[in-house]
Amino acid sequence: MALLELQGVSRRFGGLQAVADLTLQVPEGELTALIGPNGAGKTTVFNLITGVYRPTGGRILFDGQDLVGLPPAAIVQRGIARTFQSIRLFKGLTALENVRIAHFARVTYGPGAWLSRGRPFREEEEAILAASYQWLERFGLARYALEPAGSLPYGDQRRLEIARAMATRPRLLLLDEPAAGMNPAEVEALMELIRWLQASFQVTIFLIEHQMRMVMGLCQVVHVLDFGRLIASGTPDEVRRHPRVLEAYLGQGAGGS
Amino acid sequence: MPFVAQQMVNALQLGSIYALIALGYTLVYGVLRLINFAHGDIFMVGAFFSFFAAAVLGLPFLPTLLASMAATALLGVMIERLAYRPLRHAPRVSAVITALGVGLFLEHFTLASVGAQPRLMPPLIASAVYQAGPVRVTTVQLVIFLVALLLMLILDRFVNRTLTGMAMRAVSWDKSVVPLMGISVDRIIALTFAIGSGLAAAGGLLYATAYPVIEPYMGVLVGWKAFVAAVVGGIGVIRGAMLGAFVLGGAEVLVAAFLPSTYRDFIAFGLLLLLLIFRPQGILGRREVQKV
Repeated sequence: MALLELQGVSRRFGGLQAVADLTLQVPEGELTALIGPNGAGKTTVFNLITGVYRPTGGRILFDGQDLVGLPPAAIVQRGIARTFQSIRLFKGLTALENVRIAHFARVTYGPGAWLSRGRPFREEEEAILAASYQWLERFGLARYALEPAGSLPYGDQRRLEIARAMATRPRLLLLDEPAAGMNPAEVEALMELIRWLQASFQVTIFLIEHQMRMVMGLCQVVHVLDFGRLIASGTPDEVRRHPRVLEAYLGQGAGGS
Repeated sequence: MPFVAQQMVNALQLGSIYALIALGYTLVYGVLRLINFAHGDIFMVGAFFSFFAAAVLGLPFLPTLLASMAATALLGVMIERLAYRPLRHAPRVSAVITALGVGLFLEHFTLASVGAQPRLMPPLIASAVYQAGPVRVTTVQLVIFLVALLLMLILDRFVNRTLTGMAMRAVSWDKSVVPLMGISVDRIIALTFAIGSGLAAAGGLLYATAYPVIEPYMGVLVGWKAFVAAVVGGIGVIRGAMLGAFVLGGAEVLVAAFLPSTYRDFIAFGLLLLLLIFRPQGILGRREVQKV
């Protein structure tokens, strides 16, 4: 069963066809990768799925329902969360607040509840606080709870961003180059974390990655994008030997790295 | 010494009113990076709403306060929706000019609808004078200080403790990521205008309680001073706006106490200019790190 399905999705920026007639599926419960050379349109695909951009053509189905035209906040509420290639935490808020705010989408009390300070409000706030601490603990970040997010070490900021995304309780998690700027040991730990996330929370993961090692080690299915077009799909091994993929990556040494 | 202590009481009164208005500048700047130059006139409209509630409807102090805050909050939301939201992605100078235009509109709409003749605010608080040691405090001063303090405490707790307050702060850090937390940025911005305008209305009522003559241009100078207070405290920083307002109120009162009162604004603003030369981001402000 495909949790996410792109049907002929296109996006044009002026004269540039950033994504052209893209059709692909992300099966529920699996790890799917989207790879491609720089400028291939990978991040644009994520921006289309999350509603940051509106496609100029095609449909994006999540759990069978079309997402096109929904504002980003509504798409999050349907169960899609993401991280960014360049870390986009609320740097001046504490690590704990970064995770707490991610619960906003699921809050059930009304806007006036705070003034009356009724029991449902207090109970829910306490539950959110407890859940937020728990997310920090799961990601090994509890000791930073009261530190400004911007002061955390780089690798921990990446983990915090994933924790924040998970706190919105997504069914689909989009990771945009989560291993960017990490050394091999950190990449290894990140792969471990992603496997654990998928196993523990039944979350479907769709990730963009440059590091082939990570894609090969994690994903069941890989889609390759070049100049906005899908040029290959298959298992990591099939894709690695695909002539058009080799051609697209030629000079980048992607086949070997 | 008693003289200085007495002046401190006056400074607290003035600073409380500036603080309520300065908060509106700083809140809106925080979420939109826009100086809402119409804010002084929103304060003026708040004073007029208070006047109508008190003089025409005959409401007592607390209902007047609540009615005026609610009506002015609604006005702030409408201004944002009709004048600023369409320009959200326009060059910043367009939004600034629109803000100035909204201010002029409010002044002249008020002028045209209620007339240029100053109105006298009916006294809502029974006046009495308390002697606390060497210092004389009037009930009006007490009410002003307590109402302002209470509103500021509520705001501070709201912004720092609740998810919605957190969302307001998050918008000031990275507006584009906020929707990915399932939060509508438009709603947070509308709420920010509602809160800022409501506080300005409270400032309007308190101002009219202390200086009971109100007229359509009263928001201009008071608005500028509150804006300066917000910048001195560090624009975008809520506690900075409160601090800056009391610094400005203190400077004004002390200058007026020791020097001819015509020097008041000149020296008070001169001091503030000096402060900004050495600390351009304001007392509690954070330096904007511009990525190149």
